[in-house]
Amino acid sequence: MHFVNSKTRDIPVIEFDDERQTEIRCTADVLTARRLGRFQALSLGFGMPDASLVAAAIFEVARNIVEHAENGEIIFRSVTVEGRRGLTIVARDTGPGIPDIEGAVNYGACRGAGNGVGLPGARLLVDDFEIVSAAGLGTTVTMTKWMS
Amino acid sequence: MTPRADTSEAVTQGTLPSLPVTYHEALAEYLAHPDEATLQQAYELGRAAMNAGLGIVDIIRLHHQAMADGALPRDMCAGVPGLESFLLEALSPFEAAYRGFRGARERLQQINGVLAERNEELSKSNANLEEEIRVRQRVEGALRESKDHYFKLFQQAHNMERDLRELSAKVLSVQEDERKRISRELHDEIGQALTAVNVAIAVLKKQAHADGSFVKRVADAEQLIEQTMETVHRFARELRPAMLDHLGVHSALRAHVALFTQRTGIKTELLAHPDLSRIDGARSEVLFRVAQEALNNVFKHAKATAVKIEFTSSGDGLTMEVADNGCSFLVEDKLGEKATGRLGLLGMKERVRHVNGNFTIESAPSKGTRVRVKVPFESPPKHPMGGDETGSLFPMPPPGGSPGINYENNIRTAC
Repeated sequence: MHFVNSKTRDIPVIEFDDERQTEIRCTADVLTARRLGRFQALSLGFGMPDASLVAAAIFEVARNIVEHAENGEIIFRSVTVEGRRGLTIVARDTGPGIPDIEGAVNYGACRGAGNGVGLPGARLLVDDFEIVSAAGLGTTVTMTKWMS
Repeated sequence: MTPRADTSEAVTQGTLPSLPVTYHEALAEYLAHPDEATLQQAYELGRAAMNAGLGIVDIIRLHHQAMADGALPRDMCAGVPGLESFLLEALSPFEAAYRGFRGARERLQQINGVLAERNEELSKSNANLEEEIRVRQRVEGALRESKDHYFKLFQQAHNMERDLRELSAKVLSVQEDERKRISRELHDEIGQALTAVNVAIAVLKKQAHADGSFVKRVADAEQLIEQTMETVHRFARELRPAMLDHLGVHSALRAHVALFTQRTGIKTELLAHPDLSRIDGARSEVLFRVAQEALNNVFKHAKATAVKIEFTSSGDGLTMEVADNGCSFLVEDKLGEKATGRLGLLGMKERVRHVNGNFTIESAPSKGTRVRVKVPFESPPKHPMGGDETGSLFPMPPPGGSPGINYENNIRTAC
C-alpha cells in the first residue's frame, strides 16, 4: 500500500547535502528527534515558525513509532531539487505496519479528527508526504518541508 | 467540541484556572532550561488548549499574561528568542488543525462546484424532458384528433357502403322482378298473339291454292312467324327461365347448357349434385345467373372449346365451379372494370355477396378460368349492421377500438 502527497515525486534528481540519523525507542528519543529536526531546519535557513512546524511533524511521526512499533529510526536529509532547498525527514520502523493507510492519513477515520494529531497532523504540517506500509512489513514515512 | 466562546470566557473567569497557571509554569521552566523537553510541553499545552476550545488569540493572551507576570525573571524575558519559539510551539497544533480545515474546505468547495454542475445538468435535462413531454402531448393531441377524424370518415364510408349495398340488392331484386314480368309478358301475351297470327296464316295458306307466288309468300311469312316465336320464347327463357321456379336450378341449368352448346358449339358438361335440392330459391337464382354470366363470358372472351360445371358440397354450403379451357385474363383488371355495358364480374360478385356467399375467380395462362361460387345452405340471421358476413369493405370497428386496424385483411374478400 502506498500513499503519496508529493510535489516532487516525478523529479528524479535529488541532491543529498547532508544526512543525519537518530534511533527512536522511547519518549526521550522523540525529544531528541525533535531537537535534531529543529536544529537542522534552522541551520538550513528556515525561520522559527517553520522550524516549529517541522518539529511538530517530527514529533507526530516519532510518537507514532514509539506507540505502534517500539523500534525505529528517523533520518534527516538536507536536499536540493531544481535549486529549491528543503528538509526531508524519513521515519522508518519495523513494526506491524498499517493495514488501512488511507484511513491513517486522513481525518475522520481515526482518532482525534481535525485537531492535528498523529499522521494526519504531520501530513498537514509539511509540503510533501509519502507513506509506504503493509501489514507485517513496517512503515516508512517520507516527508519534506521546502523553503519558500 | 465545546463552543469556543464559552471556554474562552471560562478561562478568563477562572473556572479553568489550570491553563494560565500551567502555561506560566511551563514558560518559566523553559526560560530556566530552554531545551526540547520544555518546548514539547508548550506543544502539548497548545494542543490541550485547542481541545478545550481556545483560539490562537487566547494562546497569545496567555503568553502575554505569563510574560507580564512579575514572577518571571525580567532580565531573562528581554530579547530572548526562545520566548517566540515557545509561543510558536504552543501555536503549532492550531496551524495543523487550520490546515486540515483549509483542506477540508477546499474539498467541500470542489464538491460544491461538482454539485452545482450536476444541478445545472439536471435542470438542463429537466428542461429537455419538459420540452419532450410538451412535444409528446402535442403529438398525442394531434393523433387523437386525426384518429377521431378517421373514425368519422370510416363511419361515413361504412354507412355509404351499406346504403349502396342495400340499393344494389334492391336493384337486383327489381331487375329480377322486371325480368320475370317481361318474360311472362313475352311468353303469355306476345307468344299467344304470335300463335294466333300463325293459325291465321295457316288458314290463309289453305285457302290460297291457286296462286303459286302467293302461297310462297304466305309460307315465308309462316316461317318468319315461327322464327320470331322461337326467338321470343328463347328471350323469355333467358330473361327468367320458368324452370328455375318450377323444376329447380339443375333443370334450368341443363336446359340453358343445352341451348348454349347448340348456339355456340362449345362442349359443355354439367354434373349434378344431390345437395342442389337444399339450395333455396334466392340462392338457386344466384347460381343460375352466375353460371349464365360465366358461360356468356366463356363464349365472348375465352375462345374455349370445353366448359365444365360441377358442384362440391361441404358442411355449411355448396360450391359451384365453372371451369373453361380458354385463354386467361387478369382478374384484378376485370373486377375493377366499370365501363362495360353489363355488370359482368362485379354483378356476379354483388349477387353472391347479397346471399352471404363467396365468389372467387382464378385465371391462369394455359389453365383457363375458374369461377367459383359458394353459397350457404341456411340463411344466417341478417346482421343489423351488415357486418363482416357480407364481406363489407368497411367493417365496423369494435366499440371504442381503433378504427381500421384489420382493414388490410378484411379488404381481400373477393379473389
